[in-house]
Amino acid sequence: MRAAAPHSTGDILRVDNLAKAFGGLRVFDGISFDLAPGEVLGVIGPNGAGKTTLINCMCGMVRPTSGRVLLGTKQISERRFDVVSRMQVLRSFQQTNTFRSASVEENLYRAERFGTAKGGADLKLPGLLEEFGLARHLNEPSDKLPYGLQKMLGLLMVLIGRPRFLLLDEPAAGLERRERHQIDRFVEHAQSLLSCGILVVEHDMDLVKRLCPRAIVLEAGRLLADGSPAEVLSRQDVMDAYLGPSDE
Amino acid sequence: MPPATLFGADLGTPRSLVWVTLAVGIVSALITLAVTHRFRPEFSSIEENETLAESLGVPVWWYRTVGFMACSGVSGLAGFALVNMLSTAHPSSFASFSAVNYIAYAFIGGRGTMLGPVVGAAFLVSLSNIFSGQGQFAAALFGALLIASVMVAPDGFVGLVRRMIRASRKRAKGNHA
Repeated sequence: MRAAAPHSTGDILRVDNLAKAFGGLRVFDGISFDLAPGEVLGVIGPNGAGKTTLINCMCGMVRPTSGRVLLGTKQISERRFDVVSRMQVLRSFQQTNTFRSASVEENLYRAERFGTAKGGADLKLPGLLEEFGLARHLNEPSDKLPYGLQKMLGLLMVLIGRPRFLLLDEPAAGLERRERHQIDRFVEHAQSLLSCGILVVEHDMDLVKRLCPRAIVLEAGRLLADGSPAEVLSRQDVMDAYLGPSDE
Repeated sequence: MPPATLFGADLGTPRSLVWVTLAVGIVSALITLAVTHRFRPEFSSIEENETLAESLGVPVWWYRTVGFMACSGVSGLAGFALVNMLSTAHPSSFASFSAVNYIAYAFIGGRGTMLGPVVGAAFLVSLSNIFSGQGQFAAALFGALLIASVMVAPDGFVGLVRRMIRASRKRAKGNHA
């Protein structure tokens, strides 16, 4: 396998007029925004707004109907999923997603083996495993772990790929409230270790407010608002999108 | 068919037949061992969770192609050994149903191991020889055997034995503690 060419650290991830339709069903269109290295961008919006499909298009899993996704000057929306992953634009999944029958250790080994960033930044992995409660379970099959631990394992596997851009699809979904601060710590670690750009699709507004200086709102397939979470959440049209328009 | 020759030496005599078949078997085993040993993490990951494997950077199509090429090459070698022994080759010897049998050997014996298909083939071939004495019931008996085997040993006989060994070790450890 070829190693990905080294990139300058300043490349931004640009979504340019992106549209996706499945047959006649339009998921979104005309979506444009930038994600800079080191930035944490929240993506919020009601169910069915196209948030997960947006991540699917950005990571190469799904071809957009039109528009482009650019990493620096390289167009990545025409490339295969695994190629985009090896360019270190990496995603996590909403549900737990591990190699089920393999042990925790084997899962981590595979993540390291499959990535292109061998010998990249030192992740201080033993410390992370300890912090997220996985260190005691290294030899257990990953599908025997509690839900929260499986989710953290999935996130650490993505981190091992040394993402330059990290696309998190509802990282806190299904976690208990007391487990959710682990997502904060995970994002902090990803930033301090790799200074990667992070896109967080999330329904937990408190989490978005804590983590994201900037958030965009998707609603019915269009980009409704772009600004600080407090600012966008105070807008009437955003509230209407979530709760339905009020009668007054 | 005329017997195969190598640098003028006849490979169809009874003595050379044994040696050639043995050599083909060893070469096939070595190729299989090399490919599966080298790519086991990729193959297992693609089998278990293709999307996750891709998301971590595995070019799935490439490993599929490698797997397919290695399988085809080894099957081709086996075909050569067979035809060399029978000194006849006819399309009817390889009806599409025989492919089902070969896959059944691997499933019944145990996938993901080299021993599995050998065990599966030995077991099913010898039993189908016994069943063939039952005339019209042969196919039904064979089918019942497949169902029973899959129910008793879902990951094949080799998997079953492995699981039993692991369980008895665990029990021994438990008693010890």
